[in-house]
Amino acid sequence: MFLKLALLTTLVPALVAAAGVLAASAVAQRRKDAAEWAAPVAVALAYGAGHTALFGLPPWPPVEASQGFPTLALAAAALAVAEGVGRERRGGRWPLRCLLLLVATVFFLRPLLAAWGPVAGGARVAAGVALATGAWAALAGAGRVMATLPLALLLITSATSLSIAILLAHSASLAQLAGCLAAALGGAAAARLLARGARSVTPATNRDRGGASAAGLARGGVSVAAATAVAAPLFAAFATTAHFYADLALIPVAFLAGAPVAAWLVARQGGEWVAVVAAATMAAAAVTTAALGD
Amino acid sequence: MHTVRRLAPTAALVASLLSSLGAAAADRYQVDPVHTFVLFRVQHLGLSYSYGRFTQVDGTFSVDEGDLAKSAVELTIRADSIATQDAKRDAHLNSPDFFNSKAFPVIRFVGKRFARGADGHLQVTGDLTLHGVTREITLPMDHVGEGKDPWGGYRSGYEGRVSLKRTDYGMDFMVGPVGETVELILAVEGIRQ
Repeated sequence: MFLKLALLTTLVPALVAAAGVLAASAVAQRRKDAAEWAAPVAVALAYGAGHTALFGLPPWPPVEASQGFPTLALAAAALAVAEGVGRERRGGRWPLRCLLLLVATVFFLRPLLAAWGPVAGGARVAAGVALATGAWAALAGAGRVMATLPLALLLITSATSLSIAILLAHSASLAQLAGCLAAALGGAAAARLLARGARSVTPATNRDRGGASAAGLARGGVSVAAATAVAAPLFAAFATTAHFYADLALIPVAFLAGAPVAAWLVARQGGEWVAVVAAATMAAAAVTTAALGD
Repeated sequence: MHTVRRLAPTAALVASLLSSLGAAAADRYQVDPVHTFVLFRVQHLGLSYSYGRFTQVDGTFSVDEGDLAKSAVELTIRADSIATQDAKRDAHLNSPDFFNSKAFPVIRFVGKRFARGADGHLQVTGDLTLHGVTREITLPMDHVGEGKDPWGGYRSGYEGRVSLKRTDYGMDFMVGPVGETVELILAVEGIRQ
């Protein structure tokens, strides 16, 4: 029983993500923009596969917040594809990303909004979107300056600590789903690192292409950094749902959101492995405070 | 003639009883939360039963014995009032793994049809909304009794048992270690309004 659960939680999403990234690596040799959107699509499909393997196809429309996670993953991947193949718009990519976060937050909190009223509800939604946008920007920023391996460790550490913190807050199902996300990110990163021609370089001068690594674009490889386009909104969805429905306290949520920010700030100074340690410390603090809050 | 005279008081008594039943049944009762219990049991690991109850129940009912179609019942239960003798388990049951009590704070039963079963039970068919899912169920209810209480009021009590599949209500988590079938006991006491 527990072995089966562990396999469904980790193996299915990891394999789907790895297969997606490997397939995309071949496509990216011919089509350069695939480097940017292949990883988000692979991670979104992998998360959806893991979610479905664990709990079956979610109903439509979703009844519970967590049933909307696969849709959010696909929507974030679609946005990444649009960003990857489309022209750079005036005002950049953030208005649409914020809109995605806003719609998702309102959807996840809709059972509570009526009870809160417009002022308190609006304030909570705004705070949630602001926190999620900040964490997303930090992850995208870290993706611009960190090489594949440390960035992958940052993403996997963030997702795993999120999973453990949620488990400590009494929701094993949400924790399993966060574990799915960690496995999907791990599978994508492992496939990227194993793919022929992949190198762990630090693309220190990249511009922001949805978090995509310019070095990845230049060599026709799939950028793991681009996976932040799906990971970041899903992190936000998990944290929001766990906080409001599963009693995950605000302090661990703040540490979880702070982990990518700390990593980005440190990595900008050139210490990407120190950045991973900083993020891991924040993640450990999140888990510890979640355990103490129980 | 003698026989008729002997039977007359009995007939009068029966008629009076039926009449008083009809009159009393049409009355509306407010659920007394102190004397109303919603208990449940569910298998744990397939080797024992875990028991629990909901401590906050509210509602009204009226049973018209003369015309059951005029009967009505509405019960609401606070999902987060679940109590299973262990605070951590209660928190887990309130989480999105099971009741997701913050998203679905109320369990509601609204009666739609009433009938008298062959075994004498009152069959109450209605909509049970649980975990955001509404399904029709039938509750077989026994009328335990009714009468004056020591404080000048008038009370009536019913009790019924029903089995539900929690997966029918979207509660799919940990089916196996925690049984799929939940057995409910509903013991309701109402105070006539």
